[in-house]
Amino acid sequence: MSTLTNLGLGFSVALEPANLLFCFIGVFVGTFIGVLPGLGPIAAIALLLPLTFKMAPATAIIMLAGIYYGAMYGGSTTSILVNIPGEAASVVTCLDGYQMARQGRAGPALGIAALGSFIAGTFGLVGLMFFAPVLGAAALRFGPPEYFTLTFLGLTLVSYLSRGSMLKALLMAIFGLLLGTIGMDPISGQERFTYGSLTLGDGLGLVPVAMGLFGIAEVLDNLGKNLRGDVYEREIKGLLPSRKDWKESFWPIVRGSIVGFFIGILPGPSGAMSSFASYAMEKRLSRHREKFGSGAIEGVAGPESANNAASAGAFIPLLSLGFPSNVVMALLVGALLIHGVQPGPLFIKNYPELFWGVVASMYVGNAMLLLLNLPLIGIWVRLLKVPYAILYPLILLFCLIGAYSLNNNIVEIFIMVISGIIGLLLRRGGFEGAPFLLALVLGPLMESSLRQSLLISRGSFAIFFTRPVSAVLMLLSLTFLLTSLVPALKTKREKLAAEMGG
Amino acid sequence: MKKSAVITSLLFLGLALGAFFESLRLPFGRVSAPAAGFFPAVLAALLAVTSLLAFAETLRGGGEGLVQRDRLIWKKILWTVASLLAFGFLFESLGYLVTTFLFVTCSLRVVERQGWGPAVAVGLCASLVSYIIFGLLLGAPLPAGFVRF
Repeated sequence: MSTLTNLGLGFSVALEPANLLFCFIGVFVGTFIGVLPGLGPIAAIALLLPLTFKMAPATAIIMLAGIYYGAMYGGSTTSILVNIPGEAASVVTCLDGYQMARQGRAGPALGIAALGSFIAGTFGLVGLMFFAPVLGAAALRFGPPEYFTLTFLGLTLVSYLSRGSMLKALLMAIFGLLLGTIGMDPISGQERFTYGSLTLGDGLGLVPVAMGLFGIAEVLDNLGKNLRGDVYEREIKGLLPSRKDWKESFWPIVRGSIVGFFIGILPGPSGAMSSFASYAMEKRLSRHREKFGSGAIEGVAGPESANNAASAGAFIPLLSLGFPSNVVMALLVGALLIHGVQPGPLFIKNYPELFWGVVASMYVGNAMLLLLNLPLIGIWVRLLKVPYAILYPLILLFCLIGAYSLNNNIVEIFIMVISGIIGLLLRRGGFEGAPFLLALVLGPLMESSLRQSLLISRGSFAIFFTRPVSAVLMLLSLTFLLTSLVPALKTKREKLAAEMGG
Repeated sequence: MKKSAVITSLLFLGLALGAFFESLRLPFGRVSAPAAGFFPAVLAALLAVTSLLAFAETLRGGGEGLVQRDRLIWKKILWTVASLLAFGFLFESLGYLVTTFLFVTCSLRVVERQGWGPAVAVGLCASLVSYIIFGLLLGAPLPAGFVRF
């Protein structure tokens, strides 16, 4: 079937009334979460995941994906109006977006962020449509050594791009892998570290741990702080950018879309990484660099486009290899598995309605976001004025409901609270949560592929260097590990990681 | 900050040693045929090494990766954690509506020192609205406790 026929099939799924409704709920909740400081898409997806159990798989993934790219849209609103990024990918938008708002140009800043996001999101989807099947077909030839080196590269890269010490990030990844061994051995079925607990028999739940590390820990860390900032109070006028704004933003949007899409495919915090890369590129290419940081529209258009294209790109390794490149994608793997759908090279072939339905729903979702965001900005501004002291008990309440409704098991609530306390202590000590959580998800795949590889090679580690794909992935991983040890390159990495904001 | 990094590294070391000895109770197999204990044992050893290195790095470099953060307000944190745990213990016996109402009201009144009026009003609204959304519209199975509908 051609791509267009497939896309037609996708739209027939995406335009079903239930899917349209949940796509809308997804993008709306995503924008809402993106606007709220202190709660990101990870906690939101983790929270709503249990509620998708009764839905059809396509409906569930359509809604959860909507939360993800909706949060990317919503994050820009707080950056521009309050100078507080809703999530990491919007950090850089504060630089010029807030300055534009202070100069009375909040309207064009919000408008170009929404329109740039729409254009880039659509571009990213076209890329996803063409790249995912190609990569999926290539991945059919992947064996255990390739999967092991892929997971190894993923964890190395996530650690490499973590804020601060790479050693601590690696430590967190190893810790995540170790906790990932709790439960049943994937090969022999023997129970490990469960100590008779039925809850632990299925392994340490990703959702309560994710909500604890990213939701509860964030709230505990923010208790007593003033997160309101100065909300831009004046009336927001002229959301549609002028001809001059368009002229200045056109190429930043194009470049941001391309750069963001390719960065999105890579493992790691692709949203933040792509927006910083785009900002740096626009500043370098601009004829008036001095305007950057004092309200240049290119500084909003480029990064906002890049992070939305990246969110589409991040779906490629997930849907074609079954490999989550970031924590949000890891949660989506969890969602697919809960519905009995195995992501991987055969995913597109086995579940064409699901793959193309989700892709088509993203076109629909992007259009909804554009229509939704511009008129709803007034509501988001009012939401930003609600004191954090009122908001956080509600955020905690949602986390509690989410953790419980996962398995109707009270133990999950305690796992979440304990993860939250541990998460708070770890972030105070400079230990990042993202490598840990990704490792927790990738652990079983890494273990089974390592053990199968060693069985095939009769205990020889050379198997990872003698097969071409595996050798390239292994060499890349080792390069990242070694460059973090060379002092001059180490400083460069730290600068890069600091810019990524973790 | 540096102190918490040192303590965390040492806790990781203790955890790694514990996990290593626990994994030795599982069959290790051979490198050519690894069994259930192989991967955890290797990971525990790696965790021990990296936590020692992280400990040394913190002592030597004094805070690479440590971001200067605002001071934590421990009193609020302890109250919040206590109310989260209390929620867990009371949820099934008291039921959804009562526990959520108590949780939100106590958080606002005790932790945030809001007046009784706003605390009770927000608690009531949060309890009822979230029940309508999660329990009725989304069909999440929530415990009724002693308040039965």
